[in-house]
Amino acid sequence: MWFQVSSVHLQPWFLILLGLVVGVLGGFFGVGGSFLAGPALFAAGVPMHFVVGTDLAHIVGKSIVAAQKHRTMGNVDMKLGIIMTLGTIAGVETGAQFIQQLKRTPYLNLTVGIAFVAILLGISAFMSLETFRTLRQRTAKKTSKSRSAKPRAGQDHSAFAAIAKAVHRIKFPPYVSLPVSGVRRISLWIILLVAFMGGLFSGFLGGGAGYIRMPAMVYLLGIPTHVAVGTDLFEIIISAGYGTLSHAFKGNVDIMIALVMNIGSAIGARAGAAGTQYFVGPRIRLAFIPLPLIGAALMIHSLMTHRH
Amino acid sequence: MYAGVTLLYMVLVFHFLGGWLYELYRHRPGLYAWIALGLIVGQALSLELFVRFLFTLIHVEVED
Repeated sequence: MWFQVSSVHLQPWFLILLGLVVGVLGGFFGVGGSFLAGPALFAAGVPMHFVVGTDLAHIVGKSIVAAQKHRTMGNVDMKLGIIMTLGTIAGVETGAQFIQQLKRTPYLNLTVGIAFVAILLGISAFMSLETFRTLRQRTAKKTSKSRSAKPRAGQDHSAFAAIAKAVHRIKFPPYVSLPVSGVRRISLWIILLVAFMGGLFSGFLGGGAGYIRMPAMVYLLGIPTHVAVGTDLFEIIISAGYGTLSHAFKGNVDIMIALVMNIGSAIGARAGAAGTQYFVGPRIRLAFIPLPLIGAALMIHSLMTHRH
Repeated sequence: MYAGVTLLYMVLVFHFLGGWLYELYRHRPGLYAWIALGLIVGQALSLELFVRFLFTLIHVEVED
C-alpha cells in the first residue's frame, strides 16, 4: 500500500500487527509502545521525522482505549495526570523544536537514533537492577515470615522506595497531595519537572515517552505501579494529542499510517489493560525490562544497515 | 466480524480520504493537522464502542 504523504510503501497487515503488539504492551505497561513502533517503522523505511510525528498520532488513539479501561479499574489519578499534562506540553514543544533544528542538518537520523538507543539501554539497566533487588528482598521476607506475606495482584513495593521518600521531602513550595496515589505531600515543581523531561523525550524521540515517565513516576514520585500505568496513559492522550498537532503543523505526520496501526492497537490496548489486574507491581516492571532492549536492538540494526 | 468491518472501513478511508488528505497536507498544513487529530480520536472512540459492542455480543452468546 502506497502512503502518499510520507512517500513509502508499507503492507497494511504489518501496520495492523505492529499496532496490535504495541497496543497490548501499551495497555499492560502504560507506555505508548514507541520503543518498538518507532524502530519498527524506521526499519520498514519510514523517514525518521515521519516516524516521530506519526507514532505520536497513533498513540493518541491507542491511549484513549487503554486509559478508559484503566479508569474503570480505578488506576487513574486525574489530579496528577492534569498537573503532569502542563509540564509535558512544554517539554513536547521543546523536543519538537529540536527536531525542526535537526531537520536542517544531515544528522537527524543518527542523532535521534543514538539518543534513542542510549535512553532505552539506560532504562533497561536501571529497571533490571531495581526489580531484581525488589524481588530478592521479597523472597527473603517471604521465607522469614512464612506464608502470611503472600503477594496479591495490585500490591506494590520497590527496593528504591528511599529515592521517592527523599523526593517527597524536598522543600520547594507550592506542594500538592495526591490521595489516589497515596502521596501525602510533594512539591508541584518536581511533578512538573518529571513531566517536562517526559515531554521533551516525547517531542524529540516520538511516542508518548511512557518508557521514561512510567519509571520516573514509580521511582521518583513514589506512585504505585498500577496507578502510574493508568495515569500515564491518561496523560499521554493529552500530551500526545498536542504533539500530534505540533508535528502535523510541521509536516511530520502521515495520518493514514496511524489510522491503519490504530485498527490493531484498539483491540490490543484493551487486552493489555485487562491483564494488569493479574500481576503485582514488581512483576509488571520485570516483564517490562526486555522491551526497551528489543527497541534498542531494532534501532541499532537500522542505523548500521544505513537504510536511510 | 471485526476484521471484516475494519477491512471495509480501511478501503473506504483510503479510497475517499487518501487523495484529499494528501492535498491538504501539501497546501493547508494547519487544517491537515486538526483533521488528522480529529480522525485519530474519532476512529479510536468508534473502535472502542464497536469492540465493546462485540464483547457484549460474545457475552450474550456465552450466556445463551
